[in-house]
Amino acid sequence: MRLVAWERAEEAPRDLEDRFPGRWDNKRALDRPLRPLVAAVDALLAGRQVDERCALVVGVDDHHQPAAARFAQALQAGRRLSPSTFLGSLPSTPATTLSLLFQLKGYQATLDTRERAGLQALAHAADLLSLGRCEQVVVAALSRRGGGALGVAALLRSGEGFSLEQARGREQAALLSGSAAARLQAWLERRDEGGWLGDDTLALRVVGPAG
Amino acid sequence: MTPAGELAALRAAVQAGRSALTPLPAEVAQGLSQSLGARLPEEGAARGLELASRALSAALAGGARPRARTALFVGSGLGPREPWEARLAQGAIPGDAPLEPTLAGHGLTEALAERFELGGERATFAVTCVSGLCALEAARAALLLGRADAALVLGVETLSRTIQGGFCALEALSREATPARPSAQDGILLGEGACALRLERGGAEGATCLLGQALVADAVHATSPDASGAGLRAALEQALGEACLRPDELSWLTLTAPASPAYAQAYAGALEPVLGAGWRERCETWEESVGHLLAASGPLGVAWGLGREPGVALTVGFGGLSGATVVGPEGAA
Repeated sequence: MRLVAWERAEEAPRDLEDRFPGRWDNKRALDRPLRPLVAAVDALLAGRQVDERCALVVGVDDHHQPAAARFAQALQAGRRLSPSTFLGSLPSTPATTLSLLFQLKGYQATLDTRERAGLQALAHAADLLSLGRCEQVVVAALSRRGGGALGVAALLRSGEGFSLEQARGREQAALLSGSAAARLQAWLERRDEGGWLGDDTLALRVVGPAG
Repeated sequence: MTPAGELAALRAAVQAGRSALTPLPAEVAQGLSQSLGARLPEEGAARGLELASRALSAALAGGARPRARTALFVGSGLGPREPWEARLAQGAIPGDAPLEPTLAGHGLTEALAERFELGGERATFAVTCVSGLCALEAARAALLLGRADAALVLGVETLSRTIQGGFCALEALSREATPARPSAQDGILLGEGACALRLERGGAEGATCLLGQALVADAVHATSPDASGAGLRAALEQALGEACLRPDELSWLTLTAPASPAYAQAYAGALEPVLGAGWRERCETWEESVGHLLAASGPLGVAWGLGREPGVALTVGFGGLSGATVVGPEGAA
C-alpha cells in the first residue's frame, strides 16, 4: 500500500461550513469537536482524485462524551430531547459526517477503543487494503484536546509501497502515548524510523519503504 | 440471546407470530413518547456484560481452538449505558471528564476478554446498527492474515433509557404501535440482544460459511437512507458478486428496520430490480417478535442462516449505511 498524504488540524477555518454546498446547510454549524477533523480531511482530499467507493475508518476516544452527558441530563430532568445532541453522543457521527461531506460511499467503520482507536483504525484500514476489500481508504482519528479537538487524517491506497505488520503487545515496540489522534499522528510522523511502533496492545511495523 | 429466547426459540416465536414487545419498565421509558419494547430479564448496571457473556459462552462451547489465539471483535452502537445511567441516578452526573474506562464501549470488550481468558487481538466497533458487520470484517481479516486461529464476533446492545430516549428524539419509533397491536408500520420498536459467532478458518464439514459481505454508505443524509435504495442495492450486488451467487440462488433474506417507512421504501427500491417483483416472498424478519436489535442485528442475520441454504442478511444503520452478508453451506458458492 501507499501513504498518499496525511494532515492534522486543531482548528478549522471560519468558512468551513460553506465548502460543502448541497451537502451541508451552511447556516448550521458543524459540531465543535468535529470541525478540526473535517478541516484535516478537507485539506487531505483537496485536489486529489478519490474514488466514490473509498473506505473510511475512524478511531475515536471520548469526543462524544459532552454530548452524551447533555443528553443524559436532559433525559433525567425530563427536558425536551434534542436529536442533534443524541447524534452528537454517538461515536460514529464523525464518520457519518465525513461520508456525507466528502461523498465517501465505500466501507465505513468507527473504532471505539479509547486511546488505542487511532492505531487500531490504521491497522483495520491496512487489513482492508491488503485483502483487496478496497482500493483507497481514509483513516482518521478524533480526540478532545484542551477545550478543542485534534483531528488527524491520512489517505492510503493499494499498490506497491509498504505493508504493515501487526502484533500484539510487543515489548520492543517504541511506545506511543496520548490520545487516539495523538497516537495516529505520532505513528505517521515516525513511520520510517523502522522497528515496531505502538502501544501496550498493538504494535505496527512498516515493511518496505514507508513512502 | 433475545427477549424471545435463543436462536431456536426466536425462530419458533417468529413462525408462530408471538411478540415479546411489551410496555418497558418505568426506569427505561417513563415520560418518553413510546414505551413499548422488548427487554431481557437481566437487571442491574452489569446487565450488558451478563447478556454478552451468555452469548459468548454459548458460542465458545465446543470450540477446540486455543483461547490464547482467539480474537474478540465486538460491535455495539453505544455500548451498554446502564453503568452510566446508574451513576446518573446516584446524582454523579458526568461532565467533561474522560469517560471511565469501564463505562465506555471498549470496557465491555476488555471485561469479556478477561472473563473468558481470550488472548487474541480485540477491538470494539461503534457503527450504529451495522457495528457487528465491521466486527465480522475484522474477524475475517484476523483469520485470513493468520493472526488468529479463531475469532469471536459479538453484536450487543441493551435497551437502556438512553437508547429508547435517543430513538424517541429522532422520531424513529412507531407512534401507532400499542401492546395489543405492536406491529405497526409507521416506525420501528426497539429490542435488545446479544449474538456471538465463532469463526474459524476452513471450518468443519457442514459448517455455515461467510460467502460474501459488503458494507456501503450512501452519503445522502445524516440519519436517513437514500430513498431510492441505491446504497442497499450496491451492498447486495457487491456481496453477491463476492459470493459468486445469482440473486435467484438466495433462498432467504432477512431485513432489519422494515417497519421504518424510510427503510421500507429503500428496500423496495433496492430489492425489486435485483430480485424481481416477488422479492417479499423470500423476506424474513424477527423484528415483529423482538423489535429492532440494533448492533446485535448483523451477527443475528448470520446466525439466522445456520444450517440453511444460501441467503443474505441485510442490515441497515444510521447515516445511510447498508450491509449485506451472504451466508450458506460450504460449497454453495
